[in-house]
Amino acid sequence: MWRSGHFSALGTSHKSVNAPCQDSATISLSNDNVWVAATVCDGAGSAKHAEDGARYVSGQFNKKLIELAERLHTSPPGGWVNDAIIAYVIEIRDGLRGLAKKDDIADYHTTLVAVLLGPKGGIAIHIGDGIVFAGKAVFDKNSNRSLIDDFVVSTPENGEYANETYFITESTWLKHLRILPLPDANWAVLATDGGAEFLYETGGTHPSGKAFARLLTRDTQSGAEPPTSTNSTLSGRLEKYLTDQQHLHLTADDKTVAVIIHDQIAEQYLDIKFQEPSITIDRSELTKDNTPNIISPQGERPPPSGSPTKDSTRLQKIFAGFLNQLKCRWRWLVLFFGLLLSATLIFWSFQSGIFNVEMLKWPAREQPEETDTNVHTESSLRTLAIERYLS
Amino acid sequence: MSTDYINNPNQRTPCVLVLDMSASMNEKTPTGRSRIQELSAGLVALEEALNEDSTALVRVQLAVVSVGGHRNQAEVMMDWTDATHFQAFNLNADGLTPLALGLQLGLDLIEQAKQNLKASGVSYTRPWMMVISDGAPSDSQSDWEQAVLQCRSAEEENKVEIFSIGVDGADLKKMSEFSKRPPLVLADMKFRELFVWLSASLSAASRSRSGDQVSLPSTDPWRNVGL
Repeated sequence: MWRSGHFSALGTSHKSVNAPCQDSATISLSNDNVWVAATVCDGAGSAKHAEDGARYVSGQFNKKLIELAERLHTSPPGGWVNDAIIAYVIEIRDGLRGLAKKDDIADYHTTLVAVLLGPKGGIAIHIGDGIVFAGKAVFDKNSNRSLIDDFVVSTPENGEYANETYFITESTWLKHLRILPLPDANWAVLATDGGAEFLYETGGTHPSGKAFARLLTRDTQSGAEPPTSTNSTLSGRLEKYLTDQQHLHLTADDKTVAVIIHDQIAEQYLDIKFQEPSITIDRSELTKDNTPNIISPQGERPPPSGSPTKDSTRLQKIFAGFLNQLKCRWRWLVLFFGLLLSATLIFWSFQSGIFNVEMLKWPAREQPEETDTNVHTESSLRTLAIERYLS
Repeated sequence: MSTDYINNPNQRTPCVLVLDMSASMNEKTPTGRSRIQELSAGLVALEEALNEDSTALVRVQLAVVSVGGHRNQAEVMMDWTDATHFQAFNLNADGLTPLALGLQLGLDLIEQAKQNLKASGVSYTRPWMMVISDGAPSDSQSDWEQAVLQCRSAEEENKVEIFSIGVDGADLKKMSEFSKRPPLVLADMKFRELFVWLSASLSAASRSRSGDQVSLPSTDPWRNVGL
């Protein structure tokens, strides 16, 4: 049901000092293949066990997202989803304490960028820098192609300085946890901050149509084959893109990009067209404040989704709409079954003889009886009484 | 200005060098060359070191402020320049040491760099200001105090990291006033070693991440540890 791929490339800054790639990515499917979870993590440059931290968190958090997907089969989405995610992060931080064998887990500093997508959308989870693009490719009758012109973005959260981002391993992680509903998304691209450089237009203020085209559609320039049903092709395409010598100047950092795309779109892979979006991502804004920076495709900036409470409200609104639809359908069902029951009762009544056709006839008007001589009219009674009184 | 944010959107670590070019820098060193010539050679070493460090090369940007000179002013000798475009140049010494003006001009350049980086959507680490002087400031007391206040305030607000380097003959008491770090003293005019250290240190700073305590290379190769 989903196709996916990911690749992490060693940055030149790490290569020059023989340091390992400190990014990690994990993608997995639910048992029924209906849900897909992707997590990418960027270990902090000089944290002692950054690569271990990134690997542990991406693997474990992805498992937790699949657990969440199983729960969503039985429980309708709501505010509990936020609570569950917070509980998962707490569990993973505990796991890191186990690895560190101490309370301080700063040696495992890592960011967290994750997405869970199902048949009717999903959710993005974000702490620190890195980026998520997600949306729905829709079929356009005019051009006879699927178009990607509509998506949401969960942007990096930095302080003023590039070396001031936030980690799942910090004590203030909850303050920086962002949960973004992704209603009706059928593709998503996740990246660490190094990988994100490949997703912006050169110059840096728009998402790069070229990059999206390379990642999500057929790369006509290089003549690359479109992804097949195996994930390896998509990962191979990412590897080629991230390790291309022409792009090495973009960043000296490690770079990771993960792509998940619904089969339905993938089937039309060759015909997908990335339409230049109407949105502008002002990256200069990203370093100015700490507020989550989520920009809608229409260019409006929706309320920040930083606090779980606000996210909860958004989620509830989305799912309240769904429940309302459901209630409407139930109303019609009740009416339908009510009418069916009534008809059955009437039919049975006639069959059993409780009712018959005669009963339905209007009763015949009774003929007035012959006037009784003893029947006294009011006047005659009055006369009679007078006569008795006088006698 | 020689910065290219389009072809190189890497994050930057800006560093402004505030260099004393007063007449005292013409004094001969034991090598037979003048201090200003040694300083010029140091800039060549900086260029070479940056070129050998692939991370620093794409992430560091430099500006140079001259203090003194024939106009006896603080002036922008080199506006912000990416390390990839940096080319060392010869320096000439003359005049007094209006260091307060140099400090203020350095802080202004840093603010300007931040604004340009923000406008270009390029992220950056905390800028550095390295001040090198071999004498006492020639500014009025009030100008000096004003400059010191601005530097300390900028440091406290995490706007800049200031490094104060005293060359033989520097007024170390004055040099210690504008930075929370004590001034370091250059040994035997080891400008080359100083600038090689600067390149390595900027590279380390440009790789640092949140919560990291940036560990800079040892200053032993150039610092007069006896003082």
